Amino acid sequence: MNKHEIEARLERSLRSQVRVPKLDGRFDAGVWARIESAKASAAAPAMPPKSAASKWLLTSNAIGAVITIALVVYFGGHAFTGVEVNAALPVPDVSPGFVERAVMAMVWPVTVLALGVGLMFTSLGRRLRAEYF
Amino acid sequence: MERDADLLAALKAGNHHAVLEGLMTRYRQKVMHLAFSIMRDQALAEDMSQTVFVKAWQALPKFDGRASLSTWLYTIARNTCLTAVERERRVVPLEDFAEVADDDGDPMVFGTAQAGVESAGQAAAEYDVARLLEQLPEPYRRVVVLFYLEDRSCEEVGELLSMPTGTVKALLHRGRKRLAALAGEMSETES
Repeated sequence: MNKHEIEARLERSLRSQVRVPKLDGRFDAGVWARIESAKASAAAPAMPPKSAASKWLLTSNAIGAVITIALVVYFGGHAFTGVEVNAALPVPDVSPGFVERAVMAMVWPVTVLALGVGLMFTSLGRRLRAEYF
Repeated sequence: MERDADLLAALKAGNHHAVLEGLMTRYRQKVMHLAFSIMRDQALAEDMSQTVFVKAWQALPKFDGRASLSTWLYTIARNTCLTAVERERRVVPLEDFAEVADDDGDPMVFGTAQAGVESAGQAAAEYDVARLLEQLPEPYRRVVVLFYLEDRSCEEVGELLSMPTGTVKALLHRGRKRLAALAGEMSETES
Protein backbone atom coordinates (compact mmCIF):
# COMPACT_ATOMS: atom_id res chain seq x y z
CA MET A 1 0.00 0.00 0.00
CA ASN A 2 1.52 3.32 -1.05
CA LYS A 3 1.50 6.60 0.84
CA HIS A 4 -1.51 8.05 -1.03
CA GLU A 5 -3.58 4.95 -0.44
CA ILE A 6 -2.75 5.07 3.26
CA GLU A 7 -3.71 8.74 3.48
CA ALA A 8 -6.96 8.18 1.57
CA ARG A 9 -7.87 5.26 3.79
CA LEU A 10 -6.97 7.27 6.87
CA GLU A 11 -9.09 10.21 5.73
CA ARG A 12 -12.04 7.92 5.09
CA SER A 13 -11.62 6.31 8.50
CA LEU A 14 -11.42 9.62 10.31
CA ARG A 15 -14.48 10.99 8.55
CA SER A 16 -16.61 8.00 9.33
CA GLN A 17 -15.42 7.20 12.83
CA VAL A 18 -14.85 10.50 14.59
CA ARG A 19 -18.40 11.33 15.63
CA VAL A 20 -20.41 12.12 18.69
CA PRO A 21 -24.19 11.89 19.01
CA LYS A 22 -26.31 14.94 18.37
CA LEU A 23 -27.57 16.50 21.58
CA ASP A 24 -31.23 17.39 21.89
CA GLY A 25 -33.80 18.66 24.36
CA ARG A 26 -32.95 15.91 26.82
CA PHE A 27 -29.54 17.49 27.27
CA ASP A 28 -31.16 20.87 28.01
CA ALA A 29 -33.57 19.24 30.45
CA GLY A 30 -30.60 17.66 32.23
CA VAL A 31 -28.93 21.07 32.54
CA TRP A 32 -32.08 22.67 33.97
CA ALA A 33 -32.48 19.79 36.41
CA ARG A 34 -28.93 20.34 37.62
CA ILE A 35 -29.55 24.05 37.99
CA GLU A 36 -32.72 23.43 40.01
CA SER A 37 -30.82 20.97 42.18
CA ALA A 38 -28.04 23.51 42.75
CA LYS A 39 -30.64 26.17 43.62
CA ALA A 40 -32.35 23.83 46.08
CA SER A 41 -29.12 22.99 47.84
CA ALA A 42 -28.17 26.68 47.95
CA ALA A 43 -31.55 27.57 49.44
CA ALA A 44 -31.18 24.99 52.20
CA PRO A 45 -30.60 26.66 55.60
CA ALA A 46 -26.97 27.11 56.48
CA MET A 47 -27.61 26.23 60.11
CA PRO A 48 -28.44 22.62 60.78
CA PRO A 49 -31.99 22.14 62.01
CA LYS A 50 -32.39 21.82 65.74
CA SER A 51 -32.54 18.17 66.50
CA ALA A 52 -34.45 16.50 69.27
CA ALA A 53 -31.12 15.75 70.93
CA SER A 54 -30.25 19.42 71.19
CA LYS A 55 -33.65 20.10 72.82
CA TRP A 56 -32.94 17.42 75.40
CA LEU A 57 -29.51 18.85 76.04
CA LEU A 58 -30.99 22.30 76.48
CA THR A 59 -33.55 20.98 78.96
CA SER A 60 -30.99 19.01 80.95
CA ASN A 61 -28.68 22.05 80.98
CA ALA A 62 -31.49 24.21 82.29
CA ILE A 63 -32.29 21.68 85.01
CA GLY A 64 -28.61 21.48 85.91
CA ALA A 65 -28.32 25.25 86.09
CA VAL A 66 -31.38 25.53 88.36
CA ILE A 67 -30.05 22.81 90.68
CA THR A 68 -26.62 24.48 90.77
CA ILE A 69 -28.13 27.83 91.67
CA ALA A 70 -30.28 26.22 94.37
CA LEU A 71 -27.24 24.45 95.86
CA VAL A 72 -25.14 27.60 95.75
CA VAL A 73 -27.90 29.52 97.52
CA TYR A 74 -28.40 26.77 100.08
CA PHE A 75 -24.76 26.09 100.95
CA GLY A 76 -23.81 29.72 100.54
CA GLY A 77 -26.54 30.57 103.04
CA HIS A 78 -25.20 27.96 105.46
CA ALA A 79 -21.66 29.20 105.09
CA PHE A 80 -22.65 32.76 105.73
CA THR A 81 -24.80 32.01 108.78
CA GLY A 82 -21.68 31.68 110.99
CA VAL A 83 -20.29 34.97 109.78
CA GLU A 84 -21.48 38.40 110.79
CA VAL A 85 -22.75 39.77 107.59
CA ASN A 86 -24.97 42.79 107.59
CA ALA A 87 -27.08 41.51 104.83
CA ALA A 88 -30.47 39.88 104.78
CA LEU A 89 -29.73 36.56 103.10
CA PRO A 90 -32.68 34.41 102.13
CA VAL A 91 -31.50 31.39 104.07
CA PRO A 92 -34.24 28.80 104.20
CA ASP A 93 -34.99 27.27 107.55
CA VAL A 94 -34.53 23.59 106.78
CA SER A 95 -34.22 20.92 109.41
CA PRO A 96 -31.64 18.09 108.93
CA GLY A 97 -34.45 15.54 109.03
CA PHE A 98 -36.21 17.21 106.14
CA VAL A 99 -33.03 17.24 104.06
CA GLU A 100 -32.50 13.54 104.72
CA ARG A 101 -36.07 12.69 103.75
CA ALA A 102 -35.88 14.88 100.68
CA VAL A 103 -32.63 13.27 99.55
CA MET A 104 -34.00 9.78 100.12
CA ALA A 105 -37.12 10.66 98.20
CA MET A 106 -35.15 12.10 95.25
CA VAL A 107 -32.47 9.44 94.97
CA TRP A 108 -34.46 6.95 92.95
CA PRO A 109 -36.27 9.33 90.64
CA VAL A 110 -33.04 11.19 89.87
CA THR A 111 -31.19 7.92 89.29
CA VAL A 112 -33.89 6.59 87.01
CA LEU A 113 -34.09 9.92 85.17
CA ALA A 114 -30.31 10.06 84.68
CA LEU A 115 -30.24 6.48 83.47
CA GLY A 116 -33.12 7.16 81.10
CA VAL A 117 -31.50 10.26 79.64
CA GLY A 118 -28.24 8.38 79.20
CA LEU A 119 -29.96 5.48 77.47
CA MET A 120 -31.79 7.84 75.14
CA PHE A 121 -28.51 8.77 73.51
CA THR A 122 -27.37 5.23 72.89
CA SER A 123 -27.97 3.73 69.45
CA LEU A 124 -30.94 1.77 70.78
CA GLY A 125 -32.37 4.87 72.40
CA ARG A 126 -31.98 6.86 69.19
CA ARG A 127 -33.76 4.15 67.22
CA LEU A 128 -36.62 4.03 69.71
CA ARG A 129 -36.95 7.82 69.75
CA ALA A 130 -36.92 7.92 65.96
CA GLU A 131 -39.64 5.31 65.85
CA TYR A 132 -41.98 6.54 68.57
CA PHE A 133 -41.37 10.31 68.86
CA MET B 1 -32.75 33.53 19.73
CA GLU B 2 -30.62 33.12 16.67
CA ARG B 3 -27.84 35.61 17.19
CA ASP B 4 -25.41 36.52 19.96
CA ALA B 5 -26.75 40.08 19.80
CA ASP B 6 -30.19 38.80 20.83
CA LEU B 7 -28.63 36.85 23.67
CA LEU B 8 -26.72 39.92 24.84
CA ALA B 9 -29.90 41.99 24.73
CA ALA B 10 -31.68 39.37 26.82
CA LEU B 11 -28.74 39.34 29.20
CA LYS B 12 -28.95 43.12 29.60
CA ALA B 13 -32.65 42.76 30.32
CA GLY B 14 -31.78 40.23 33.01
CA ASN B 15 -33.56 37.39 31.25
CA HIS B 16 -30.97 34.77 32.17
CA HIS B 17 -33.31 31.91 31.48
CA ALA B 18 -33.70 32.94 27.85
CA VAL B 19 -29.96 33.52 27.54
CA LEU B 20 -29.12 30.04 28.74
CA GLU B 21 -31.78 28.51 26.50
CA GLY B 22 -30.23 30.36 23.57
CA LEU B 23 -26.70 29.38 24.53
CA MET B 24 -27.67 25.73 24.73
CA THR B 25 -29.49 25.81 21.43
CA ARG B 26 -26.59 27.49 19.67
CA TYR B 27 -23.55 25.98 21.36
CA ARG B 28 -24.39 22.70 23.06
CA GLN B 29 -23.06 20.64 20.16
CA LYS B 30 -19.85 22.63 19.93
CA VAL B 31 -19.33 22.43 23.67
CA MET B 32 -19.91 18.67 23.41
CA HIS B 33 -17.31 18.42 20.63
CA LEU B 34 -14.79 20.37 22.66
CA ALA B 35 -15.48 18.30 25.75
CA PHE B 36 -15.20 15.08 23.78
CA SER B 37 -11.88 16.12 22.24
CA ILE B 38 -10.52 16.58 25.77
CA MET B 39 -12.30 13.87 27.75
CA ARG B 40 -12.18 11.21 24.99
CA ASP B 41 -15.27 9.55 26.41
CA GLN B 42 -18.78 10.21 25.22
CA ALA B 43 -20.57 9.90 28.57
CA LEU B 44 -17.96 11.99 30.36
CA ALA B 45 -18.07 14.58 27.61
CA GLU B 46 -21.84 14.90 27.91
CA ASP B 47 -21.59 15.15 31.68
CA MET B 48 -18.91 17.83 31.38
CA SER B 49 -20.96 19.71 28.80
CA GLN B 50 -23.90 19.88 31.20
CA THR B 51 -21.56 21.06 33.94
CA VAL B 52 -20.31 23.77 31.59
CA PHE B 53 -23.82 25.14 31.08
CA VAL B 54 -24.55 25.03 34.80
CA LYS B 55 -21.36 27.02 35.39
CA ALA B 56 -22.34 29.40 32.63
CA TRP B 57 -25.72 29.92 34.30
CA GLN B 58 -24.00 30.71 37.59
CA ALA B 59 -21.53 33.07 35.90
CA LEU B 60 -24.03 34.85 33.63
CA PRO B 61 -24.66 37.75 36.05
CA LYS B 62 -20.91 38.40 36.04
CA PHE B 63 -20.50 38.33 32.25
CA ASP B 64 -18.98 41.70 31.35
CA GLY B 65 -19.06 41.44 27.56
CA ARG B 66 -15.31 41.84 27.10
CA ALA B 67 -15.21 38.58 25.14
CA SER B 68 -17.92 37.22 22.89
CA LEU B 69 -20.41 34.84 24.45
CA SER B 70 -19.00 31.93 22.46
CA THR B 71 -15.40 32.64 23.51
CA TRP B 72 -16.53 33.01 27.10
CA LEU B 73 -18.46 29.74 26.95
CA TYR B 74 -15.62 27.83 25.26
CA THR B 75 -13.21 29.12 27.91
CA ILE B 76 -15.50 27.77 30.63
CA ALA B 77 -15.73 24.48 28.72
CA ARG B 78 -11.97 24.12 28.24
CA ASN B 79 -11.17 24.98 31.83
CA THR B 80 -13.86 22.70 33.20
CA CYS B 81 -12.69 19.72 31.13
CA LEU B 82 -8.99 20.30 31.67
CA THR B 83 -9.55 20.67 35.41
CA ALA B 84 -11.54 17.43 35.43
CA VAL B 85 -8.80 15.62 33.52
CA GLU B 86 -6.16 17.05 35.80
CA ARG B 87 -8.12 16.16 38.92
CA GLU B 88 -8.86 12.63 37.96
CA ARG B 89 -5.57 12.13 36.11
CA ARG B 90 -7.57 10.05 33.77
CA VAL B 91 -5.79 7.40 31.82
CA VAL B 92 -8.18 6.06 29.27
CA PRO B 93 -7.15 2.57 28.35
CA LEU B 94 -7.27 1.49 24.76
CA GLU B 95 -10.05 -0.94 25.54
CA ASP B 96 -12.41 1.95 26.34
CA PHE B 97 -12.46 2.84 22.69
CA ALA B 98 -11.68 -0.37 20.96
CA GLU B 99 -13.49 -3.03 22.90
CA VAL B 100 -16.78 -1.50 23.92
CA ALA B 101 -19.66 -3.29 22.27
CA ASP B 102 -23.12 -1.96 21.60
CA ASP B 103 -26.34 -3.82 22.23
CA ASP B 104 -26.00 -5.79 19.01
CA GLY B 105 -22.53 -6.89 19.89
CA ASP B 106 -21.00 -4.73 17.18
CA PRO B 107 -17.94 -2.74 18.03
CA MET B 108 -18.50 0.92 18.86
CA VAL B 109 -15.57 2.82 17.52
CA PHE B 110 -14.63 6.11 19.14
CA GLY B 111 -17.84 6.29 21.04
CA THR B 112 -20.19 5.87 18.08
CA ALA B 113 -21.84 2.81 16.69
CA GLN B 114 -20.43 3.17 13.26
CA ALA B 115 -20.54 -0.51 12.59
CA GLY B 116 -23.86 -1.40 11.08
CA VAL B 117 -24.10 1.99 9.38
CA GLU B 118 -21.53 0.91 6.83
CA SER B 119 -21.05 -2.29 4.98
CA ALA B 120 -18.76 -4.91 6.39
CA GLY B 121 -16.42 -4.51 3.44
CA GLN B 122 -16.07 -0.79 3.92
CA ALA B 123 -15.54 -1.18 7.67
CA ALA B 124 -12.81 -3.68 6.98
CA ALA B 125 -11.15 -1.24 4.61
CA GLU B 126 -10.88 1.37 7.33
CA TYR B 127 -8.35 1.90 10.06
CA ASP B 128 -9.18 1.58 13.70
CA VAL B 129 -9.16 5.31 14.36
CA ALA B 130 -9.42 4.93 18.11
CA ARG B 131 -6.20 2.92 18.18
CA LEU B 132 -4.42 5.37 15.94
CA LEU B 133 -5.55 8.42 17.88
CA GLU B 134 -4.57 6.73 21.11
CA GLN B 135 -0.99 6.84 19.93
CA LEU B 136 -1.18 10.42 18.74
CA PRO B 137 0.09 12.88 21.37
CA GLU B 138 -1.60 16.10 22.43
CA PRO B 139 -2.21 18.68 21.07
CA TYR B 140 -2.35 16.92 17.69
CA ARG B 141 -5.06 14.53 18.76
CA ARG B 142 -7.35 17.25 20.08
CA VAL B 143 -6.99 19.23 16.86
CA VAL B 144 -7.55 16.19 14.63
CA VAL B 145 -10.63 15.09 16.58
CA LEU B 146 -12.15 18.56 16.57
CA PHE B 147 -11.34 19.06 12.89
CA TYR B 148 -13.43 16.04 11.95
CA LEU B 149 -16.16 16.78 14.50
CA GLU B 150 -16.45 20.37 13.29
CA ASP B 151 -16.91 19.40 9.65
CA ARG B 152 -13.28 20.01 8.84
CA SER B 153 -13.16 23.71 9.59
CA CYS B 154 -9.85 25.02 10.94
CA GLU B 155 -11.49 28.31 11.90
CA GLU B 156 -14.03 26.55 14.11
CA VAL B 157 -11.32 24.43 15.72
CA GLY B 158 -9.23 27.55 16.34
CA GLU B 159 -12.18 29.27 17.99
CA LEU B 160 -12.91 26.28 20.20
CA LEU B 161 -9.31 25.82 21.27
CA SER B 162 -8.54 29.54 21.37
CA MET B 163 -5.75 29.12 18.82
CA PRO B 164 -4.92 31.01 15.64
CA THR B 165 -6.10 29.24 12.50
CA GLY B 166 -2.50 28.97 11.30
CA THR B 167 -1.55 27.04 14.41
CA VAL B 168 -4.50 24.70 13.90
CA LYS B 169 -3.43 24.07 10.30
CA ALA B 170 0.14 23.36 11.32
CA LEU B 171 -0.91 21.00 14.12
CA LEU B 172 -3.36 19.28 11.81
CA HIS B 173 -0.73 18.84 9.12
CA ARG B 174 1.78 17.34 11.54
CA GLY B 175 -0.89 15.29 13.24
CA ARG B 176 -2.00 13.77 9.97
CA LYS B 177 1.59 12.96 9.04
CA ARG B 178 2.04 11.16 12.32
CA LEU B 179 -1.26 9.35 11.92
CA ALA B 180 -0.33 8.30 8.38
CA ALA B 181 2.97 6.93 9.67
CA LEU B 182 1.15 5.02 12.39
CA ALA B 183 -1.42 3.80 9.86
CA GLY B 184 1.38 2.62 7.60
CA GLU B 185 2.84 0.61 10.43
CA MET B 186 -0.62 -0.79 11.13
CA SER B 187 -1.03 -1.77 7.46
CA GLU B 188 2.33 -3.56 7.51
CA THR B 189 1.38 -5.59 10.53
CA GLU B 190 -2.01 -6.39 8.96
CA SER B 191 -0.45 -7.69 5.75
